[in-house]
Amino acid sequence: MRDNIMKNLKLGFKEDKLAVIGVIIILILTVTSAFAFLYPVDANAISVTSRLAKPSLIHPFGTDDMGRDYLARCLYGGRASLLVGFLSMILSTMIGVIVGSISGYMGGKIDAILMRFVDALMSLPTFLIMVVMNAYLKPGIKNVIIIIGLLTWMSIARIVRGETMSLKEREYVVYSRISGQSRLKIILQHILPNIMPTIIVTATINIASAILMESALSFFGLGIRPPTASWGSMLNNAQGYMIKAPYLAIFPGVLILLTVISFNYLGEALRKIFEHK
Amino acid sequence: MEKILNRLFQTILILFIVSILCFTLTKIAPGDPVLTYVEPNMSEEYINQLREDLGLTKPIAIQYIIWLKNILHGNFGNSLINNRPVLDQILERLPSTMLLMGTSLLLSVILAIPIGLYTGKHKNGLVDKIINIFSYIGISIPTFWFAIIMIYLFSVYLHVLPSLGMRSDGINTFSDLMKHLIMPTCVLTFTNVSQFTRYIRSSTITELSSDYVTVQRAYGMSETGILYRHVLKNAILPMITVLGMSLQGVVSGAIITEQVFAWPGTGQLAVNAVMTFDYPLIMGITMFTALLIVIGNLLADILYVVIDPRIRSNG
Repeated sequence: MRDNIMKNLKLGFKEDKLAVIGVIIILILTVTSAFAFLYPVDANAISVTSRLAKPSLIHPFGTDDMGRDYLARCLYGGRASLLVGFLSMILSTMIGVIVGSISGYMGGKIDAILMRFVDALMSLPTFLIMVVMNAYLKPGIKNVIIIIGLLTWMSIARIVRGETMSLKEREYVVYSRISGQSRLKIILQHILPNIMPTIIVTATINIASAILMESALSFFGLGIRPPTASWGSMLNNAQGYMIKAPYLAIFPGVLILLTVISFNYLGEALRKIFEHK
Repeated sequence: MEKILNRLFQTILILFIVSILCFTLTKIAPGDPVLTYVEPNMSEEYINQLREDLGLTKPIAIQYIIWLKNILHGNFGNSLINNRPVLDQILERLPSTMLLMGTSLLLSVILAIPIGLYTGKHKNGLVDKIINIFSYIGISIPTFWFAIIMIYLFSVYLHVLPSLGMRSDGINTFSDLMKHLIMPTCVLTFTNVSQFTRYIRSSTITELSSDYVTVQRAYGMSETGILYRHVLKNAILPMITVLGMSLQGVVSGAIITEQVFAWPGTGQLAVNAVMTFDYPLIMGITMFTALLIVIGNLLADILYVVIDPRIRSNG
């Protein structure tokens, strides 16, 4: 079965050139921000003489209002944004898979209670709750990851629950149940591996929305705050220099858009590939 | 009918959980709430008395019941900053938000239906591919960034549209309001229309490949006839559910949009409340918004059952 998936993946990517471009963009952004320290310019070096310099050979993205090299800032900003995206996705996927599989497998009252809880969380104005929690907690990457992770697992839980419910009636699962295997073992060995494709698709799209949320929070001066650079907080700063230096707002924004669009597209491409099997 | 009753019961349960979540959020807020009432020359005794009067010494469950009772009576408490009733402030701001969200949702649906139908019918055609790229941009673009780019382009650079607020100073005309409405609506609509188009496109594709369409084709019905007389209705129907489901996202989008454009709605009120740590106001808005979202979802479900005979007969 695994070979089959790999073959489908290869075929799917061969057909969908845009998905390949998406993967390449994600790889480039991840690698460049992970190895940002190799770029020989200090992202925090303040220079009074070269404030708001236009993009040039020395400063490919120009400099910001404190004369810091904007390309270096963007690389480090990407590090924060991608880190938040990946880690909060992992957190939300873990919670979602646990709640969803328990709910779907156990059914009955447990299912009803968990799902009403999910419904309730999905009725709250998420962004507002994020803003509130952000104001309560100390600002910083760790808390942003926790907040986003805790508020975005519901859709995964719903999807995993649905798939678990349909899988649990399959013969081989019924057989394992009758032969006395523990619930945990059945969920881990027989159910989760089979819904892995769906989980991967949802998780990929979740990275996209987590990055969007982080950037919005940081843009409002919450979330990740200076001196730590993130694309959102850079845009917050850029707002004050729209007339003098519009490129300050262009670069981080385009980078967010590119990243989010790549993850969204990749998620959909994977969905198509998995559905074709 | 049983289905609707069941759904009503679920809704009450959801609201109950929402209220507990909201209450917990107020309780875990940092800082002693009594401090906002304390003045420098108050004695220790008086402060303790105040704490008791405010009900802060009672068990947490009792505090919750009192809080819930007040909310059910429409009493969301008073703002810590200006001491005005929270509900009054929300209701005062609500029309602006409704104007923005309503205009945007209406526009999104009106645009998404023909675009979705067309692209679903001409799947993988040139138009479909172009629209597909735009809809990916629509769901991926950071709302606030799109907003500041629009402001730069149309207010700073071209000077054709006002950048902030809902009305110009001292001018109270319809056209002035419309001018202010254009940019925030566009920002909010772009995301919504992208999402809705994708739903309608995919349900159009599903409907077009279903059995009844094949039968109609075999009877010699024209393609446009099939599209308008049968597919249209069945493809739009799920939009009711999609609209209900998208409310949460639309509210988040509206909060961001209002903030960037300084649109005087509840979203802006909420963000300001957070910045000034005005807890009663924050909780009031959260609870109120959740209530609207839950009711919106409920209405969507009921409407769906009323309109779609297939579900009615099964229920």
